[in-house]
Amino acid sequence: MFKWLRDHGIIERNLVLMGVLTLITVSIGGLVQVVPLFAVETTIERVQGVRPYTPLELAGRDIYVREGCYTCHSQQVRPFRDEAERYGHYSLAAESMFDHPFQWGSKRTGPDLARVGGRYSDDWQAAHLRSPRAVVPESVMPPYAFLDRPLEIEGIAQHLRALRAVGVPYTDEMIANARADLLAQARPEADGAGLASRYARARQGNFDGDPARVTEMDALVAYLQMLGTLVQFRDVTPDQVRQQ
Amino acid sequence: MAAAGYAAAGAGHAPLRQTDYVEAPIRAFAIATVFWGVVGFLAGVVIASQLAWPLLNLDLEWTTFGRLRPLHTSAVIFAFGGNALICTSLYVVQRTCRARLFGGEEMGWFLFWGYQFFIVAAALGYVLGVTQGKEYAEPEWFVDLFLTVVWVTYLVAFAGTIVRREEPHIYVANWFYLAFIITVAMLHLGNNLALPVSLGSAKSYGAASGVQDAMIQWWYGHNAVGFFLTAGFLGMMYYFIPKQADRPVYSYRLSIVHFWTLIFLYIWAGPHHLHYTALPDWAQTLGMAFSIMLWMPSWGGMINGLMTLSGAWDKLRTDPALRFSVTAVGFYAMATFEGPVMSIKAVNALSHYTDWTIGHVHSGALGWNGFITFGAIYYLFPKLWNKPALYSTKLVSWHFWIATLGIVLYITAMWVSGIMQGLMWRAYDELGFLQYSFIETVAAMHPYYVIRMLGGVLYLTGALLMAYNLWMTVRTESPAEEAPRAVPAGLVPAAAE
Amino acid sequence: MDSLIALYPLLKSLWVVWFFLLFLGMVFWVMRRSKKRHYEQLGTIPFRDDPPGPPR
Repeated sequence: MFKWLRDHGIIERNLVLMGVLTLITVSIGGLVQVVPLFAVETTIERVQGVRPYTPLELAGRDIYVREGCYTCHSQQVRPFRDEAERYGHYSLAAESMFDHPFQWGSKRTGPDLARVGGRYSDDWQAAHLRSPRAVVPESVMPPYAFLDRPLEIEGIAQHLRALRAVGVPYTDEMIANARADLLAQARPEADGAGLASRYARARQGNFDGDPARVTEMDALVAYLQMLGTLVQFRDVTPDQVRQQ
Repeated sequence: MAAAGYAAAGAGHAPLRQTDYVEAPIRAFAIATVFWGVVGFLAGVVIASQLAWPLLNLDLEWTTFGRLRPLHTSAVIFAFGGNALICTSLYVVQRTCRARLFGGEEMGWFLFWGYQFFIVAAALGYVLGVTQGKEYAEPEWFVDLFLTVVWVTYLVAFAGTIVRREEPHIYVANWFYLAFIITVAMLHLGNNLALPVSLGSAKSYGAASGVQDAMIQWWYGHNAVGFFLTAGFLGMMYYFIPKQADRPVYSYRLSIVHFWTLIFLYIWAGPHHLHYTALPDWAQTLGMAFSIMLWMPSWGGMINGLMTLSGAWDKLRTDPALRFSVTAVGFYAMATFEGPVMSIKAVNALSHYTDWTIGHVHSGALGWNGFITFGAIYYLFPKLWNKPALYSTKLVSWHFWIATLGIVLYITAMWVSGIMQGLMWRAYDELGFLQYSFIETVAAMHPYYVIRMLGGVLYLTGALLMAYNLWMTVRTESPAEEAPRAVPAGLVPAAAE
Repeated sequence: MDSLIALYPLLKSLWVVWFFLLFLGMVFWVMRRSKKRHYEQLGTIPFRDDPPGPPR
């Protein structure tokens, strides 16, 4: 090694050496920062309540990703007093552990959505999505009325299967009933026992106000309405949330 | 044609066009750079206007801000920046190694059409809703696979040219280009590990999730800036500023220190995108510490670039293209000082999620990347089309001043709106309640969104002036070509051959 | 792990010291006069860019 300090020309005259040294130099930082996040198990807080998305919520999340909502909305409350008051408890790593990809976002042109679940009614969410300015005059949000169209339901089980392959604990029973659970969640009058047994705190509802069809609006509103509602912070002890 | 060139060269060493370097695909890349630059800047103006006047979302699925924003970022980073980097790297590596491009013209054309196809495939995907939802890594899995093939070929072409070099020493610009190609390949593979839902489906789910996905994303995200938008463009700086100023680089020793410290430190800076999030504190602090240290190699590069002008500063008055390149290094210094400041957790607590970040990004993108590319393009076009000079240097000056004014409008508007946003979010009134609802902060942004949009319009106008100037440079017959060559008939081997 | 945390203030200041010494070392290395001609020679590579000789 000392030889190179004496004469850098040795590297300058040897392409393979230059390439290998470059690759080594640029991989140190990444390894040191990424590997421990997988290895150190206290990275993700040991809290209860976080569960995989229901089929309808997952379809809604895929629409959230498809429409690029992350370009204006974040899903990450920071541990500041004003954010705790405006949004709620700061976000835990556990709350996004099943998010493929993570949608923490890096811009708040619009408000943070990490704890928007349950803050507004289903009707408010649907009306606001259809025409933001009709509900909030100063909003700069694009209108999403085109989401009032049938939701692609057929392939949903395959989505769950793919997510299980990348680590989300969907059981065979969940995958087998994926289509049924999706329809059950979008129709409050349907029998929700199976859905409730497989997904804790999964709320049935007529999310888009139209009981006849299951639409993309149903899915997106179902997803928005569950954001930040899974972990009950009343019974979270400080030790559970300590990260090493 | 090459054979004829040799024959003629041997015949009397007349200063012949350099037919021995591959140039046709590089000309195509240069044109693509200008084209995608205008497209990318226009996309920026459109989405900036949408934020100022939301009716411009047109109530259509394909024109909402959410789908057009990745179109803008990919157009200016991968299309404009990418074409500029491949164009200049293939041009520079041949001349600093005095070797013909490995794989010849066919390699050049494969890289050209391959890369343009990647751009179009990615852009079409976003508009149709095919995206991975990870910033600056939005192209879906099948587009990623295709880019991997093109990128590996690019590395083979670049390294192959260096292997066949006549100049024993690899020039510093090529270190930066090589580091850029190798590291972008590593980042691309690392951040795009995804499983398609099914082979026929455009949708895929990433391998990592939650906090790990966030770390890997911003390890990739910040180093897309670090290696795509910095190391690659530093390669351009190390070649084009010496050539335009006709002065060797200030200190070769400094470039050695600059290179190794920059590529080592840059990698660690990712976590400053995740301050005060659920990312463990040790990673956040590591990201902050290394981001602050990053200030030194960045300014080392800046000093090396600017000091190259010592003894040639007067050229700034006469050569507006050089003025672009030098001002670019000035903006590079500004942006790489603002970056470490913003990476300090206390400052980031205010700047994160606000427009201040956008101001920082665009002082680097418009000021550094844009200007160094304009400087290189203005130098390259006459060389690539073998013209004595640009069509009009006055137009270059007009472009310079319009674009600079555009950047100043853009950055100051975003500084003001960003800091105001941050302060309004955290403001408490005398009764101890939050003073502003979120929508009040959005309403307060409007005037700055308009000023920012005007800054973008100026920048776009400047680029259009450039496009016109370059078009006229290529179209007008230069005097040398009009007059028949004054070569004694006897010397010219049977021209009819 | 806790002993390491106890050492944190000391390690933090040692980091600043060693890093500053490293920085000064680099600056002096860059400013050194020796092999000046060799490095200036390297700086002129871009100016020697006539095409490669006829294929050997």
